[in-house]
Amino acid sequence: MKFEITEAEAREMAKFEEEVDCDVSAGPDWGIHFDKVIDFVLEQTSSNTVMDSEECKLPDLKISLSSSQISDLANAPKQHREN
Amino acid sequence: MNQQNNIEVQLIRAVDGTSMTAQLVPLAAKHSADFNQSWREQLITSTNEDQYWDWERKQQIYLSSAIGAFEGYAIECEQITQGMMIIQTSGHRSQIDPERRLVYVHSLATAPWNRLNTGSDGFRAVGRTLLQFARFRSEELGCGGLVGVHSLLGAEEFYLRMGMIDGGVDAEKENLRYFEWYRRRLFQGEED
Repeated sequence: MKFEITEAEAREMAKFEEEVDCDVSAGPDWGIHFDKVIDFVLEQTSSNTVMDSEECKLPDLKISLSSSQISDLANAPKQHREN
Repeated sequence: MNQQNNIEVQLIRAVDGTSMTAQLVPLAAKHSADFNQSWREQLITSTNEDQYWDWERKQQIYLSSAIGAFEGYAIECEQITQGMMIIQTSGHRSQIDPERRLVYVHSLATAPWNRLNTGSDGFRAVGRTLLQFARFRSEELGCGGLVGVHSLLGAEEFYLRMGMIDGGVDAEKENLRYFEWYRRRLFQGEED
């Protein structure tokens, strides 16, 4: 899927905006404080990105156990297994 | 799915009707800087003090209690920010069919020189391109093109003529009127 606005579509949008004669805005009027909203969102999105990249950095762990070790683990008391 | 990368769009210069190529890009620190260096001065009014108190209240209503993931986008043309939009891609559901998720337009603003009510001669098609993009993201994210928005007083006519459904005033959002782009599922299993 691709987002595309052609010149013809842009002209139609411009004509529509002029006809309706009102400004396209949404949400509250943040006035001179819109920068704070931008900063809030950037902080939110960057923390999500950090979390995503940390997830990507997790190494692959390979554990090799012999059948006797597996058996020991399975038979060990619950408290031992958690330690 | 990750936030979208740069996309080429077209804007129309109001003064002579020429078409200009612009970039729709993810929100970045540059846009905050553009706001401070270019937008702010033109937005300053005699009610600045009121705006300060408004900020405190609005922060409580729209940011502190906000749910869901945010995405931010801006349109750049001639090296400056022409418009910005913040959407929430989770945590919001259709008012018409609450079983369906939608993309919620948290905030959308165009540069002061692009606003019709200021009589300025900047660019046209900035706001509507951003809204179209919100709809595109809704489709891309499996929300079937459903988009919700709270309209500022004065922009209501715009949303009605865009074919959005009037959901009435919302007492929890300072009595802003809620609009929704809704359409029926095309086929079963289209969405989550």
